[in-house]
Amino acid sequence: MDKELLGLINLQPEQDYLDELTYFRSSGSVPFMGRYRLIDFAITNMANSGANVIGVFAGHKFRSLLDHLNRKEDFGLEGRQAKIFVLPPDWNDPSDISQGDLKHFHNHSDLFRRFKGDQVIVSGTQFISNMDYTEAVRYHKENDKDITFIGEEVENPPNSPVLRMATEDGRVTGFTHDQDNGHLYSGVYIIKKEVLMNIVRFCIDNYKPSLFHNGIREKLEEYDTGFYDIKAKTHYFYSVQSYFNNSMALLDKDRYREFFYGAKKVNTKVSTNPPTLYKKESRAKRSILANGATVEGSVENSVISRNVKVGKGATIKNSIIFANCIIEPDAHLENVILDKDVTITEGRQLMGSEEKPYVVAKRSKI
Amino acid sequence: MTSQTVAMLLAGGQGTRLGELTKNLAKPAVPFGGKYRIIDFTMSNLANSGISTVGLLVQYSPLMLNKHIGIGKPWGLDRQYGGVSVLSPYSSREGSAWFSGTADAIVKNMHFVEQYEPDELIVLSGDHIYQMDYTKMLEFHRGNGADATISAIEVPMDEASRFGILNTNDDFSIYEFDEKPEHPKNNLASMGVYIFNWDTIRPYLLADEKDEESDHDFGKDIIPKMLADDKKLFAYRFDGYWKDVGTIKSYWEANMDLLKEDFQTLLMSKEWPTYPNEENRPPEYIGETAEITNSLISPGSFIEGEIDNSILFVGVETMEGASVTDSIILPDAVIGKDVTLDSVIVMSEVEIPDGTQIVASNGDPVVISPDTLEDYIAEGGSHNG
Repeated sequence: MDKELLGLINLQPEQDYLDELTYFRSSGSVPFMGRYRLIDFAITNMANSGANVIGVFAGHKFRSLLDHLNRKEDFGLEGRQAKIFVLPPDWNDPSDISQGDLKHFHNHSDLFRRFKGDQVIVSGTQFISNMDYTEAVRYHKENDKDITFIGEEVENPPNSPVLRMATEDGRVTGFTHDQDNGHLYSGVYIIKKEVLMNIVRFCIDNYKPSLFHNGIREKLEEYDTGFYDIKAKTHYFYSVQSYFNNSMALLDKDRYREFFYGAKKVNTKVSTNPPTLYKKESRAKRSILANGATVEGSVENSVISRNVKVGKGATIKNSIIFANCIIEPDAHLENVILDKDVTITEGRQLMGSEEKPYVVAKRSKI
Repeated sequence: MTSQTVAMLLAGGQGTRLGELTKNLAKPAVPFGGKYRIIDFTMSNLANSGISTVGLLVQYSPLMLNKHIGIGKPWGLDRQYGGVSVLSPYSSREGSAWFSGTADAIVKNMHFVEQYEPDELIVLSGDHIYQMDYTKMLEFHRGNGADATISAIEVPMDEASRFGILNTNDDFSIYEFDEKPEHPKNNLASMGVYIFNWDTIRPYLLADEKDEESDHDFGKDIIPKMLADDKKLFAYRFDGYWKDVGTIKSYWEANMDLLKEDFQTLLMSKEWPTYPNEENRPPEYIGETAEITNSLISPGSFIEGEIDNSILFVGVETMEGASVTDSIILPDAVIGKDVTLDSVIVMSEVEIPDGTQIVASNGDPVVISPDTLEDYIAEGGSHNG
């Protein structure tokens, strides 16, 4: 199976749903749960499904992605044939008439041409799970589908902008925002390479800007479509609030264990920080803490990333602290998200609400 | 620097005084400090000093060591030119060749050193905890026009007889080397870091090989011969942290030192990082009932209970009601409910059943291995060494 499946992570159509968190980074490189970035889950799942070559369509703000993905071995893509290509925009072809994310498909068509296999798995980074797609790929091939959409059926449909699938006789007949429909679409699909290339050609020839919306969604009846229920714990990211809720939900011990230790190990860039140091007066509970952090204060119900310093007498509650933040003594944070490299000065108090966490932009000093 | 200096890192030590810890593991590969192995300190010193041609001499239980070091990637020593080469004993036309001493290990790998035509040879051990810039020692060595330079540190006088003691003149030139003297004249101990001019040391090594009386050891044989020949030997004084983790007690102390404010740069320094061979593991989960004070906790752990003044390695689970004090818990060990541990070293993957109490009462830490666990439980836990 190894050489049949090409992975494609298309960040191009993803908008900056995560507001401040995506002002200076792509959605895929948003940090999550102390040491991961959202793209890790898509890459891990693809690698575990047998995709040995993964292309990442990065539209803009991709510096952190390039850094994060520069060692393929960290992501379980080992061996000489394995590759991660981060593909930035390349707009220099004067005859190019493609628009939207089709520009990426057009300019990086060699990725598909050189790949010898005949299936492509396409994913974004707004959906995460820790479950590989092996079974979905098998279903897709055994049923000789053109496109297989991966999703899940939930009993109590959430009130959220996540797309839903309308299905009929084992086919997907449409996508809706119907809030009563519990058949959620993950944004992941497996497609025959040949079909994908035909759709790309159609879209470009007809000045269509969106591969998914114009080439697939509007023309569903032309393809033999299937759907596959991933049957896994899943999280969707479509707002800062959902990001916050997903983080808080994973602070449940059993859920954390199941998510990170259940199916597979989630791969990420390996760093070399020392173990977390808990000093004499530290108090930590119901939290996860990443390496290189030093805790002298109190941390409760929070996610602490690498190299964070929590000073004496500082208290952190229901908060998410990104890497390298410094919380000076006696500061108090509650329902707060601190982006990287933030310093909270001595005695400062910041409070958001559970419904709307207070986000502090990267590198601020408050 | 890269091609002028070749480092030979002696990592073959069995470390018998570490007991259970080195039963199936070479001493340099013994886990240390939460996510490191002992040899990581020397490997990081090499990386940070910019010395990238390294011969790693292995002998005893080399599997973990080989796997850990690999091609030196964690230390950036995976190089096209030079890099890390693992040098194991082998059989040749003349017969098989186990290393019979530190000097012998170098002689048997002389062909490795010579291919780089080095100016200097640095000989190191893989079983000491310290942070040292070898380039400074090299500058000192070159500045003195020395034939050999030995790094030295002051040790407590009552421990001096455990070490090779350097007796020096005012300019730090060495006039006498006492290997483990009964009555040491001073407390300046060799740290087992030697720099030799390659052209000078080569004939000594070749002569020593033929000498049937010799133990083929640098401290016992080579250095005294060089001194007898009036070669220029200097002591390079080092005044940072240095610990030979040769015994269970010193292994335990060196780990505990990491928790002291004074020595936290051993792991935490950004200027002189210590690099582990890191795995992908999720951040540690600290539960509702956890209380952690003055301790290091590593990724992949689930922590409940009270942890005080202890070092927990990766993947450790401690359950509710557990109390872990002054202890070292190696990777993937599980500490059950209401377990009390005081001054113990729990080996990798050992599961301590609920309710067990093991307290090393005379201050000497005890090692809990799969083999010793039942004995401690049968004894009712309280252990008097």
